[in-house]
Amino acid sequence: MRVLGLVSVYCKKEFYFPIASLMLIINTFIVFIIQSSLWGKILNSNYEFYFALVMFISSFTSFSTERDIAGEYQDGTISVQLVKPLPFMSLRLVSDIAQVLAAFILRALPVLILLMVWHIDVLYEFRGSPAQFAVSVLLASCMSWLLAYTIGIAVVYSGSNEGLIQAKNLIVMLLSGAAIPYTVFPEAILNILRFSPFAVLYILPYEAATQKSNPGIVLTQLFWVTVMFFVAWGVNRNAMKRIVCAGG
Amino acid sequence: MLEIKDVSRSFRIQERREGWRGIGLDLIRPRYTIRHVLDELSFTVSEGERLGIAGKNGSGKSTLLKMMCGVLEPSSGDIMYRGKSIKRGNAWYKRHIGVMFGQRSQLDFTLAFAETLSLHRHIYGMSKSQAETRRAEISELFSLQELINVPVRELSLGQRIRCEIALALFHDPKLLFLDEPTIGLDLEHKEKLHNALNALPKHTTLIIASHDVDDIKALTNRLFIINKKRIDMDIPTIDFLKNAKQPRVVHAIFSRTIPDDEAVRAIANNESTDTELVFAVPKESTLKEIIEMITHKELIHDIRIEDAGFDGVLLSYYKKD
Repeated sequence: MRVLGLVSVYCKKEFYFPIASLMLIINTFIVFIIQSSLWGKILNSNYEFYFALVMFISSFTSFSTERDIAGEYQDGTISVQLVKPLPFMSLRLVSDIAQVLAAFILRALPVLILLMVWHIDVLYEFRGSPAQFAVSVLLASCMSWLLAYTIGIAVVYSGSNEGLIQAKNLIVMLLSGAAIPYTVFPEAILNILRFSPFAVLYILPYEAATQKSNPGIVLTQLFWVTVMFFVAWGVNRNAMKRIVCAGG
Repeated sequence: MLEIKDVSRSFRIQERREGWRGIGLDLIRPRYTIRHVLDELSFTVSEGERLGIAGKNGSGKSTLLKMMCGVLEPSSGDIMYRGKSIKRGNAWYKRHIGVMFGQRSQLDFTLAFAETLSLHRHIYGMSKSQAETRRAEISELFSLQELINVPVRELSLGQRIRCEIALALFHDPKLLFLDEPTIGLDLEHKEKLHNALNALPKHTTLIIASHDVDDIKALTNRLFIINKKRIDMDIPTIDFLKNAKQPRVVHAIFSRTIPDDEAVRAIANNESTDTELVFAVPKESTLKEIIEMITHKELIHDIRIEDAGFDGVLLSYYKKD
């Protein structure tokens, strides 16, 4: 109940500015149409389902955690979070769950509604088990958040994490299947990519949506999420000891 | 209640060298200096005490306060609350404290204050009825009834600060830490805030770090002056005022421009103007002695002698070093 209460207040905040919400919906449509038609022309195939799925998954994996934490650390407002009786990591997680719920409503739902109205047959490409897909998306979301949190809290070490953010964004864009359809990669590279941590974000959830029940998908994701959890936990523990917020 | 045992704190600071060459050198061979801010402080704070922490800029007031709140870890030493060591992440301790940093807002500027209270209700695990009672109490104490549903970004500074302190008190903390609570407030708002804080229950312990002598004078009964990394003075506030050898400030108004000579320049302070000579004299100085200090007595039109006040006392204390 406590977490739900927190999420509901944070979530409410996301919908305070209707024009921003509307623009987010419009931007999502435009990006979706450009990406799917562009790759469709280049590869002479239909990518509407692929990018609809990417859009859907990305609403669960897009966090502004890295820059939020960096901002709080650099201007010293992190100190007001540290006096609360909940660990900083948990407080951050709760506010980010709210962000994800808002993103789901503003990004994933409109695209799904558009596809249902426009041509529902695209959605028939979904052949996986809904339960497997749901778990896969949840794990993708966990992975993305843990990655974002680790990079965010790393600001404590050098005072800026902008370089890490840029590097992560570049790698995710190129190797996770978010911007480039993963089918473009040669089979040999794809086999390597499939077992990399970045596949957890889009490639494996896409496979969970298009393949019949395959426990290997969720197990690979679970492995990387577990690894990332321990990395994030270790970095967080160390960073909390090093936090310096001097001055009034 | 709160026991600080041999607490020291130092910071490692990277020095930035100048110019393009400096950027390269900083990357290859960074240079660090260790800045010791506080050195082996030990003291205890009892329940219901109103403690003021004063000191120059950079003396370590806020650092001490942040260590007592559990935001910063001491480099050495320990801080105990009711016999237990507080370490960062100690949720039990953090439930007992309320904190307000004058320059760091706890309020979410997008939300109305009522929603921030609701957020805090969940963070502190308060029941709905308990939260409603507290909300009514703090609204009454800080006159927030009309502000509670207004988005925080639309509040004035004075209203915002009242909300900040009310928020820090919402979960009924045993210890309230205030860091520069009246920064930027005008006299009227400051007085209102002082009245509200003085109306807090007697068992609430108040610890204030402030430059503002009005805060210290109005809200505290014990005073620390931090100087040279240590607590230079730990004294009841009232005794500090009584015992201090307060200088007095003399304002001598001249009927025309004061002749510029060595004797005048030697005593004039920087508040002096062309026709007003302002200078400090020891508290025990007599009127005769004061007049004798002034050259060109025949040009004096009026004379006013003021006590330096609490800020003057603190200033003279700082200047000793």
